[in-house]
Parts: sequence; structure tokens; C-alpha cells
Amino acid sequence: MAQYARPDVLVDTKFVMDNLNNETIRIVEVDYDHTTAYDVWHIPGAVLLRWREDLRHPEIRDFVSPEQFEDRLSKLGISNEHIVILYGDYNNWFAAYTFWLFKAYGHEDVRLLNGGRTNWAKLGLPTSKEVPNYPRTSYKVKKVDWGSHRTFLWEVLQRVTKGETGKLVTLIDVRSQKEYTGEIKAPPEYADEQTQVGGHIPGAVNIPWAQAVDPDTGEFKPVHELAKIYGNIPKDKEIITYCRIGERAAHTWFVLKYLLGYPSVRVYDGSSAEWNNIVGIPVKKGTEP
Amino acid sequence: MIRVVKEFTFRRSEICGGRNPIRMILEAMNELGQCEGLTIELDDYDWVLVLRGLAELHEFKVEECEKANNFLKFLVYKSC
Repeated sequence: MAQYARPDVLVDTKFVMDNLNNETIRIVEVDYDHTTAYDVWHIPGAVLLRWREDLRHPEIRDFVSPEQFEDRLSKLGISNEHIVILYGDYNNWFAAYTFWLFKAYGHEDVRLLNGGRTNWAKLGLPTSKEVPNYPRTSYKVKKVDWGSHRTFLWEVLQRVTKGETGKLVTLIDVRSQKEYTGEIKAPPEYADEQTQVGGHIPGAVNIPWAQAVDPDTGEFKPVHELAKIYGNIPKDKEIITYCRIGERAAHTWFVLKYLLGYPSVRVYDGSSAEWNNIVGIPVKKGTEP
Repeated sequence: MIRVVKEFTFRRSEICGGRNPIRMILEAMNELGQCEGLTIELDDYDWVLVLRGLAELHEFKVEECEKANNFLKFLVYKSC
């Protein structure tokens, strides 16, 4: 059976079980809402990174600075030499987003637990409520590489206005079909999180993130199935993924870059929460790109 | 006899945002009176495990119902 392009960045539950007490590994749970996740159960020995409090910038819409990132990781006992295994709530979305951030901040060996909390719970593997306390380290961000990971609004806008989407660059909207078409502006439970207008960035194709995972286990589908799902996405063009706030886009970014081996994939983390609120910006409704 | 006062269905692929299903269920649980319950359909084993843990912590009863199309159905209630 064909393998993922980078099988080294994905670990399964057996690997984690076999390495629960391995001092060269840090298991890190990344939660959007730890009170309904890590605090209730987590993998024994796992430390917690809170997405909003620890990784988002405290004042503006951005990520923590390299210095703040160093401080967070040092406090958790994570060193530059550790193999970091990420998993978390919300379908591993924020774990994938954090994987992306670790890569942008140059961490050498970071991996994702396939299936995350969903699969761990399904298999009935051991859980804990105990919060581990590891000795403080002196973590250092050795390089910052936003260029190959991130796209900003002004670049996407320029690409759209020059008519490059679908030609030089493939924009993938990974939200649900209803969000893409503009039928809804956010999932129905979140009435207070709507954008001003519904619809997608002109030229963007819709491939919902969920197509890449097994609905029962949350694990990524085998490579031949993924290759079919993304079969129309050319490998010789740049790819930009986006969703509503960037976390689902990071999940698909991981699939394309590390499981299917697409060479140039970036995340537009501003996503529809930025694009669909800007005065005068082009937005398209309906099923056509 | 338990009176079901609210029904929830949460599909993993459609959830995204600042409020999560467990939080919404917890809010509804906190409003339950005696002999009242919620039926909950979830398609995520993580949510089920979290929900069981929190329900037990707050002394609610949890009864597992049938499973269909990857959805796990539960009745969470306050005893009479």
C-alpha cells in the first residue's frame, strides 16, 4: 500500500502508548476549550497548550511572538530537542494549526497524533486528569518562517483582482458547502460569530476538510483515497487554503503538504472572518468558484 | 418517567466556533429539574467520554441508547 509523503510526521496510538514514559518525547494537547477537554481527560503525561491563551497574541489578531512562544514551551518543559506530539480537541484542528505554528517557528521534530482525542477515546485507551510538571527548559526559536506557511489578505486580494486564482494559484475553501455557497455565514450554533456577508473568495474551490478523515475514528483516510479527493488540485501550482478562522485550513494544509506531498501550500489564516467583513471586497455566492 | 425537555444532535464535521457542543449541553443540563432529561446524539467518541465524565461529576444519570450511522445516542437526566 502506498505511503503518505511524510509518514514521519504522523504517529498512531500504538506509538504514543509505547512512548508514554519516553523522556525524549513531549505529548502536548492543544485545546480551544480545555475545560471540556484536557481538564476532563487527557493522555497520561500530556501537557496542555491553550490555543487562545497560550498561542494567540494577547491583544491583536495574530499569534504569540517568538519570545512568548519560547516562554510558553519552556514553562511546559519542552526543549528544542524534544519530539513533540500534538493532539487536541475539535477534530485535531487546533493541533494541526499548532503543528503549522511549530513549523513556522522552526521546531525540528513535531508530529501529529492520527485521530487525536476521538480515536483515543474510541479505543478506550488510558486517560488521566493528573497535570504533569516537567522541569523548565530554555526553549529557543531558531528561525521564523512565515513566508512558506502563511498568506496575508493583501496577497490574496492581489491574486484575486489579477485573475490568478485557478490559474497560477489554487484557492481551497475547506468550510462546509453551506458556508461556501453563502447559505450560512457560520455554523448554525454560533449566531454571534457571523460575518457581514456570506459566500467565498472568487475563484476558490470547495473541498470541505472533513472529506480527508474517517468519520468514525477521525483518522486521516489512506493516501489513495486522499489522492482521489484532491485529484483536481494541480501539484505544479501554489495552493492557499482557508476556512473561517484558519484552524480547518491548517488541517487541510497538513493533508496536502505532508500526506500528499504538495510542494507549495500556505494557509490564509485571516480566512473568511477577515475577507467577508471587508467593505467592498469581492465575494461570490453559490456553488461555482 | 423521565420527561425529555430538549434534544441535541451534533455532527463533528459541522462544529466550528467559540462555543462547543459540550458547553451547550452543560448549560441545558444545569437547567434540568428532577425527572427531566436531554437526549443527545453525537458522532464523536471524545465528546461522549467528556460528557460521561462531566455528567457523573455533576451527579446526572447517563443512559446509552442505540447507535445509528456513527451517531451515539444518550439520555442524560436528573433522577426523580
